[in-house]
Amino acid sequence: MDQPSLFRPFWWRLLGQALLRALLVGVTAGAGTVFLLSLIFHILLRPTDWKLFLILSGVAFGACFLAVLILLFPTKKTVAKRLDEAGLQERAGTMLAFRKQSGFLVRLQRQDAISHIRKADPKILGKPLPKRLLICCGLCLCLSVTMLLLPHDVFAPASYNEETARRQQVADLIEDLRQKVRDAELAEELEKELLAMLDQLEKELLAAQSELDQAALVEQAQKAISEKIIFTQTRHVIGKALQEFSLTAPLGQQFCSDDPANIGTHMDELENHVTNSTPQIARLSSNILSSLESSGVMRADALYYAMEGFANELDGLFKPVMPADPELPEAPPEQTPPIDIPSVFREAETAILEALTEQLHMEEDAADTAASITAGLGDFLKNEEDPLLTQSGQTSSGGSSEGSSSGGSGNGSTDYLGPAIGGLTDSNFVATVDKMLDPIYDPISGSVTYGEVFAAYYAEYLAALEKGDIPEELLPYLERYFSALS
Amino acid sequence: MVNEKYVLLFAEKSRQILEQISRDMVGQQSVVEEAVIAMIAGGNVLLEGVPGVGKTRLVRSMGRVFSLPFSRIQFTPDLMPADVTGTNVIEKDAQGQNRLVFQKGPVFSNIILADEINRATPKTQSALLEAMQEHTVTAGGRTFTLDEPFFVLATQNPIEQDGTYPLPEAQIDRFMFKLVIGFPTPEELATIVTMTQKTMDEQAEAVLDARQLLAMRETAKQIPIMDEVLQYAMRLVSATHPELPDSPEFTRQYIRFGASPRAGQALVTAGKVRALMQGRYNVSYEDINALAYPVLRHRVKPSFTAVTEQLSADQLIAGLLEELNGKKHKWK
Repeated sequence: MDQPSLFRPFWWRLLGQALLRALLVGVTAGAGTVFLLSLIFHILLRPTDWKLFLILSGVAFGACFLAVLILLFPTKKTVAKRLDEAGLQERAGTMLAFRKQSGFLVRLQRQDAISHIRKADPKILGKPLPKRLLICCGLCLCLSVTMLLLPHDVFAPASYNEETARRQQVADLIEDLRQKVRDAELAEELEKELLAMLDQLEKELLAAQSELDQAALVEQAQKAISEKIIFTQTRHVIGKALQEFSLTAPLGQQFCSDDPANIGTHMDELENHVTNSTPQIARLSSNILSSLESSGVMRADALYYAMEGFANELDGLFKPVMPADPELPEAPPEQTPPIDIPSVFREAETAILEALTEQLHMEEDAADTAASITAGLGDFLKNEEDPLLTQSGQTSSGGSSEGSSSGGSGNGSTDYLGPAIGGLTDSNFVATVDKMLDPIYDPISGSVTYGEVFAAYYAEYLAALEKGDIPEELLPYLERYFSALS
Repeated sequence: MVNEKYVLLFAEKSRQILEQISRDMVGQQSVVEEAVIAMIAGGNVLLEGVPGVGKTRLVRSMGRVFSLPFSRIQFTPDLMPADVTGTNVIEKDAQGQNRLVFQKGPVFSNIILADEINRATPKTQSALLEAMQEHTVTAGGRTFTLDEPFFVLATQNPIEQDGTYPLPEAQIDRFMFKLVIGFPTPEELATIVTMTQKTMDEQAEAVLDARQLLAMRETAKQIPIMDEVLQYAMRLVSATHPELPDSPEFTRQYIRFGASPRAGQALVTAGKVRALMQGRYNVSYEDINALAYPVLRHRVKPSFTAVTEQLSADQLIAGLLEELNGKKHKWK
């Protein structure tokens, strides 16, 4: 006889009972958790933290639901046991226990058990919901709802003054934020602005009449602070880009205006500069874009494409004037199209600045910014490890795990930028590129010979390659560059 | 080899036995049923009851139903062991020579009615020990095997204690069941009186012989019992022992001595017979619970506390069963 099919209706019944009981126990546990948390919050005179309540009661519900379901999940043996308890007088259990034997009386017993089980109604297994559990669940729900509806100062002593407590709460919040701003070691100007904003926020919070007003103020402040930080970072990148262009453009002009015989004197410097600074600008731009995208400021990727296009264009532009490349066929000089490098630079520069300006001042993006920063700075206001303010930048999602912050090095702006844009910057890479660019930043001295520069560059390149600090997308540039020079 | 014929025989004969005994016994259905269970299972029965409630009548009726040789021994203080087992007597043979011949006593029968067994001295009571357990009798250096089936159905009066000798523990333990016959209800009493106006003789007729009885016993032995039920029976027996480390608090408080392993054997053997008599082919917890009273009531010795609180053996067993089933017994 197929025992599973014999037990199936009873199994389904027991499964239903198990699910209902698990649900009830889960609800009881969840409601109990809410009640306890609410009681604790009332005793501590803290306002209800709905998010915390929801998370903890959900965890309690889930854990109890699963535990009870696993505990009560029906098996063949438990079905037989329940049937026997329901009046089959151990017929089902004995049938299961002796299912592998075939004596005459054992077979007789099996037939007897099967006939009794077939006659049995699944309802004999009892009601799906036990009264006690139902009462307990209802009681817990009532208690938790009652506790939630009670004013939060119901257990407060007679001396408790709500206004004083509110002022203290606001003061604590603002002081905490001030401390976070100070700890973040931001640029001095930015830090001052942020502290001033916090002072203003404190005054407004104290003057607010209702919790709704307070919430609106906090939201507004969050938006303002986040925009301040993002704009500052963006301005920094624009400044960095302009600095690069201000160096590159004159070199390009000089390169184009010189006698072709003197091209070689400027070519190395120009080529090194462009080869290194171009990916760096692309990288920095990519990082700030990632930061903007992750915070919801930027949906469209026009700026990203502008940067990418710029980098590719520069790369393509300088390829024909590179030193002899064994892998590339040498183009005849008469077929080389005339290069208007200054105009290309200007066009690219204009495109980048326009894109940045457009993104930062678009009205519709401002709305998105507010929405996203509310969430982001909500964490900022509560979470000490906010990626927008922390200086360490050790939680980088894009950087290597072993990479450490370059904070404290000479290039303060770069150090600030890397971690400040959300930990998305590959700080190791930035530091390496900065190092490689150091001699190029001093074009006036010209005291460093090309051989030394190249040796230093090559050593840095090999070290960075060995550490894996160089992003994949930049490897072809560097490989092509060093293979061409060597 | 047990087959369908045996099972049918069991069902038919057990029904007939109860039917025939009910012709002589009015009421006392549970006692009759338990006595029959013990007979089929091969156990001895101690019947306890005040005079006139039908102890002897029940035993006589059972003797008739089973169609087996029946001996009645009236136990008195001057009864000697040889009066029970038999003795060597001098007898002249065909050649005129004197020789010792063993004269079998009344114990050499299939059904022994030991009436008022507690009136005999312990020495005489002990004469039955070997017969009850090993179904043999040793006299004059020779051992005689008793015919199967062999039962001892003893009676005793719980009220009259003067001039009586309480059965020793070893003797008591050899009784599978101790059945207590209560006083009949007024309706039953009226029926008894009406019935005995016609005749005092037993009316029961023989419905099975020794061979059939042994076949029934063999059939019952094959009844399957699941491990959980077996363990439950063993836990029940163990729970009567206050000296065991995991014995319930209830046991330590109210029980002085617990039941022997024979109680476990009796519970399972009789449980199988009871199950089959009820048309079931497996032993249930209910069988064990129902048989706990006749099996344990003479094997459990109440403590001083239980005596002072006037708790009967049946109350102690009820308490044990409740302890075992997770309920807390409350006496006060």
